[in-house]
Amino acid sequence: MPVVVAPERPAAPPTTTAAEPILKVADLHKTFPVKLGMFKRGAVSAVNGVSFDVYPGETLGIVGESGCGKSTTARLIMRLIDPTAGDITFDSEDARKMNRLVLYRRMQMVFQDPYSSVNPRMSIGENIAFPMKVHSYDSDQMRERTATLLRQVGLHPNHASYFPHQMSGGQLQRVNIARALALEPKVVICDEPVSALDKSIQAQVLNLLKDLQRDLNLTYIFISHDLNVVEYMSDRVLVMYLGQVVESCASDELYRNPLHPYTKVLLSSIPKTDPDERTSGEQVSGEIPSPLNPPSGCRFRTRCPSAMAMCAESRPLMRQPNADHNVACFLYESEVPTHA
Amino acid sequence: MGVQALPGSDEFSHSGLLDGHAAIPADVLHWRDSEQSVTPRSYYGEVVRRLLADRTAVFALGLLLVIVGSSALAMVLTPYDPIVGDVSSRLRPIGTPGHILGTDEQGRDMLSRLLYGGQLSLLAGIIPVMIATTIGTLVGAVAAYMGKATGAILMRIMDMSYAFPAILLAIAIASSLGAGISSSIVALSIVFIPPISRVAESATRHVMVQEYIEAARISGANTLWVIGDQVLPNIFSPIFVYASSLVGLSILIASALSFIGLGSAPPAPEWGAMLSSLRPSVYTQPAVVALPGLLIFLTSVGFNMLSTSLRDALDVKHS
Repeated sequence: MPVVVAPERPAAPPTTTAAEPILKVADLHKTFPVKLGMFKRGAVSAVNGVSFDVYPGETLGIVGESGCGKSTTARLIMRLIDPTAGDITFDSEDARKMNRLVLYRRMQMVFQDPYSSVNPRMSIGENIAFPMKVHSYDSDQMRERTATLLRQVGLHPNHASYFPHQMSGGQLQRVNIARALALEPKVVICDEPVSALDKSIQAQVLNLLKDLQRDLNLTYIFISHDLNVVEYMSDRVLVMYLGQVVESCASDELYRNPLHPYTKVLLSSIPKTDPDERTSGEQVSGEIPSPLNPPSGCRFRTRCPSAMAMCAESRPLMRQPNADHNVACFLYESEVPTHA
Repeated sequence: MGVQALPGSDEFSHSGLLDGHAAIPADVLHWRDSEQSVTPRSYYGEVVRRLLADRTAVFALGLLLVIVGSSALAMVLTPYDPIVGDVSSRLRPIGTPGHILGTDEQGRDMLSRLLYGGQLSLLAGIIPVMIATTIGTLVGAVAAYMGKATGAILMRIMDMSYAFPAILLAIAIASSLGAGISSSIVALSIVFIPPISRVAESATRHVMVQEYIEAARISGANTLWVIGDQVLPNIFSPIFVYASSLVGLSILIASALSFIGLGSAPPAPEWGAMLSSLRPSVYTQPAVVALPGLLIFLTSVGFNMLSTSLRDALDVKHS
């Protein structure tokens, strides 16, 4: 029977702004034009005014339903898509204008589906070495570093000559992680890295990510729809709904004291393992509105149990009712506005 | 396939996961020790293995090997001149001593004509497909990559050729280029470019949305690099399968062009031309007359069987 060795959680980073954020995202917007018919055009507002800071060494979790814009935000930061508006600053440099080769040495991404994020026609070693090839490493360096990376993610260096169709999902996700680390980035965006894996493998991969963070001094942006996973991995959490950030605070604070009505509903929907504690009745009614035509004012108002008249009139700004706990909701309108 | 312990696994039971760490007890790492070594097998190695395990494929390969091989070695295999014949021994039946497959209407040995003809027919079959594959893949991949207006225009131009049946188009082009095998090669290449570009375009579109293309882009690779290193190897399979099914058709149409006098001109021993010149003698020696047709049939069928087996063999799923 294997002994499960649980690594200690790293201490939460300083909650004050004493440390400079390594990544600053300010007022990010992305609208996708869509064809609604022969001559009608519409726009999907996928990301609408998202702002956050990421501090070095921490794990920022981003949680929300499918379609809330988390993956789009990740791709905007990685410049796979261009934002419609907004600024992205990496280490005080404008990431939108940075040379791509330089940006990708500092920031990388781990994708969700292990089977489609590895090129099936290349060997594992070639897949991992591709970023290094693009950055003109010489072949000895590439070979050595590939072997080191494979060891770091818990695979045998011999795996470099295997091919993706010979490996399991968990192993391929490790290969994904190895490739993301190839250029020694400082920030790694993990876009639902364990959602496509079995629960038992999820635990292994999450622990691997934690170990790597500690040993390589990485900063993570961890995106997931699974609240348990986000709680385990993150120091701070952002909750997103329909393209907007509705709440942001420290991870344990979120689970102890959720403030936004949407967060409360999300948390109450986590199934409990104790049969005596049945999932309570805080149900949210209705379907998530279409991003083609989002509700006016607060986007959650159509499903919010505490909706008021003013919720339809204007969008709530981020307020800070408690230290380091920001909410965008009119219930906290009287509180101190967040400076962002 | 034997099962071996992972080489060097012992050293991994005792060292830590990462350097600079306290050694993790051996029972914690048991999942890694128990991992069995698998022979690394490249995708194409796997394809070859699957192909050789398929009886149809082996039969088709054998058949084609015999046909192609004997045509290539025509000079060695027969002493007779395929062009000049002895009219006094015309239209001998199959099994005549000295002419194992008989003679044609001009007294030329059938076996030597068939073998030399094989060279012409096979070239007329394979070369157009190779040319069309190169050009069609380029057109299709670029159309899919550029997308939107440019891609749509490109593909609609390709679609225009679908207004004509392939053989009519081939006849039209070949007759405007004059007789000779090179005009049938050109005609067939033009006829096959649009269908191949369609396959290439759809394959490229399928590949472009895979996450490994996004991963390649965040490695910093520019467009050319992504297409060359990441896209092309992945669209190769569907294009190759489709192209191999076209070879049989190409041989058929090339023979048809020769039959009506547009391709190889007599006295060239191309199979279609042979059928045309032997046609009047069909009541005299039907078996001999049927021989070129039989070879066209066997070659076509061989390539089609190979194409079907290739499609199955290339479909390697995750173990």
